[in-house]
Amino acid sequence: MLFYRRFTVYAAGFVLFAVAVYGCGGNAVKKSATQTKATDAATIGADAVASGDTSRAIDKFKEAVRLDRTIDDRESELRDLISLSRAYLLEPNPDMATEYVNDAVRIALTLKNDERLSDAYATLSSACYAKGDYDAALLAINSASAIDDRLQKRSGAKLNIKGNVLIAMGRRAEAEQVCLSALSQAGKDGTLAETANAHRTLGFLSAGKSEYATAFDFYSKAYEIDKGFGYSAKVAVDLAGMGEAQFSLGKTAEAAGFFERAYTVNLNAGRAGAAIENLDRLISIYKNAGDEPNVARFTALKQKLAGKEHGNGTNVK
Amino acid sequence: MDERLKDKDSRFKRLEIKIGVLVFIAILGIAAIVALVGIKSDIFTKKFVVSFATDSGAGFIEGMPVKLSGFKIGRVKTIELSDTARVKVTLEINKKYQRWLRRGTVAKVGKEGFIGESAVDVSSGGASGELLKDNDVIIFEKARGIEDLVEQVKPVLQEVRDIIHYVNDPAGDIKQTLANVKAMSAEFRVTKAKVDGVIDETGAAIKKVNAIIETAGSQSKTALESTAKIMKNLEATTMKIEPVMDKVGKIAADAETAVKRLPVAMEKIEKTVDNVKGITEALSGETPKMKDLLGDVRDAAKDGKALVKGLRESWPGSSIAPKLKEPSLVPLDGFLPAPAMEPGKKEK
Repeated sequence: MLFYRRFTVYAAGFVLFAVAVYGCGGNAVKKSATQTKATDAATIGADAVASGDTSRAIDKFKEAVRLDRTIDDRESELRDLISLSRAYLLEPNPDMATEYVNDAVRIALTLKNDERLSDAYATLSSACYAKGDYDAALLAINSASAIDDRLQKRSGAKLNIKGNVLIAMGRRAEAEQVCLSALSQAGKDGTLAETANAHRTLGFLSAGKSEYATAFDFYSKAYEIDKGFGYSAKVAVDLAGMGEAQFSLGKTAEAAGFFERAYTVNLNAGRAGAAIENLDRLISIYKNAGDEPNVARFTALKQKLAGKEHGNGTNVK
Repeated sequence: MDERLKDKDSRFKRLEIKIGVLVFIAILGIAAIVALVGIKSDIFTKKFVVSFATDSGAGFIEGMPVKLSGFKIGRVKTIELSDTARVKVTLEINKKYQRWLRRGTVAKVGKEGFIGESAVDVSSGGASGELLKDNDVIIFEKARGIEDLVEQVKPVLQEVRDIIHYVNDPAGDIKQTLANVKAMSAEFRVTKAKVDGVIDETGAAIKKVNAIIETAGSQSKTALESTAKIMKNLEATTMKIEPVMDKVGKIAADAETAVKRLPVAMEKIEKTVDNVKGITEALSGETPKMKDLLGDVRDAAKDGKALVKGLRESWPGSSIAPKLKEPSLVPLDGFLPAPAMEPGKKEK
């Protein structure tokens, strides 16, 4: 009898304990539902960025941030705010990017999440650069680099950003060192896109030092990677860089060929301003060569394009 | 005495302590359950109340969820008739959501989808507005449902029907006008026949006069020529009247045909209007049934979803089901376009 009484008491205790655990679990499940929605929104946003649909990405990241806030999921909110800011940079809308990334910086500082703080600072640097505030951009990217050094997690992308900021500030010697580090880091990380970015920047710096053959080499390497990814803006810059290097090496026909390709890429991507710059370069090359028919041809194209640009905005596809 | 019942039996050692521990665990468990149920039902959550007044309490239920951006933030606490015969609806909202609700917050009865579970949807108000406080009054905006739309369509259909009746009315203006046109064209024909007769008679009379004058001499020649000219003019006028009369006759015939066809068309339109009216009335009547049906379907879907979710989250489903993809941060791009990367720019 005693055995049964003890068994009953133990069983009742166990059942009560199980019910209590289940009650705790119920709350967790409820929270998990919103978390799943937020995760889904953030995943869709990231996919939209990858497919080039920036406006959809922005909507989804905003939704994710709102849901994260509902369940006080600060870590996810931080991640989604940085993503939202980067999506705005792609649009490009540096003002909105700055607004959201500043929120991210505050949260990262509160959470003491250094890795994300570095990401937020790097994004802030890009936003400041896009707004022409190079001092702030340098301060932000230096903060990011300092954190990365401390965490021993250096990134080719951040080094490339720093290189570009230094170039914009006229500190090319420093920029070259940083870009070489970026190239090395990107190689270690296996991030091809950043390897291409480093090559392109080094090509630009080499051309600045009148080392045109080296510049052509760097631009060619960048082009080979970029065309694989299909980054049209980068491909156009690579082609124009190659054209510039060829022209400086006295290869006028080859240079014109590269500029014409750059023009076609820009035109097809709807970047009228960049396409007109390519045409300007083509016209000056043909003028130097005394090729009047081609001067007339590209001048007519430029006038037509400029007319369209003034008529209906920049989309000249 | 049985040896086992003696105090020295090892099984009775510290028996009171053992039972005490078990009873304590049980009490602790019950307290935990009560606390958790309370937490889950937001019983211990701090709340604040806001209210609004509406003309009708239809569609409101006590305990109905209050939602902000689709998330439950509270519930309808009370529905009471005020002194002015208006309905005062009091909402109880979790304090933690107070920061989203500012002056200018608008409440309305919303539904999930077109026909779905009702909830009081509140907007967050103006960004610069002051935060709502306890016992504040907010604005209520009446939402329009399918029943309202049907009610709005009904008078329009009635008006269409009235117009058709007006057109079709034998004593109405349109039918009377058409009848007048018909009578007028018939009168024109009679008048033309009379004019023709007069002309013929005049012609014969002139011939007689001509013969008399010829005998009377050449003095009257000028007068005769004038008379002949008048006759020619009269003939030309008659020729001109003839096609006009034909046209009038044709128009009258067409109008007659149209008048004959009109009742058939009217009948068709009336039938269509009756059908539309029938459909809208049926729709109006079926709306609650459709709502129930859709509710059942949605509940079934929800149950299915919950079941899958439960399986996914419980053992052994959790170990079998694929894990949700963790979103990654949008990659940082080290490419910064203009002004630094414009090829051709050289160091100064």
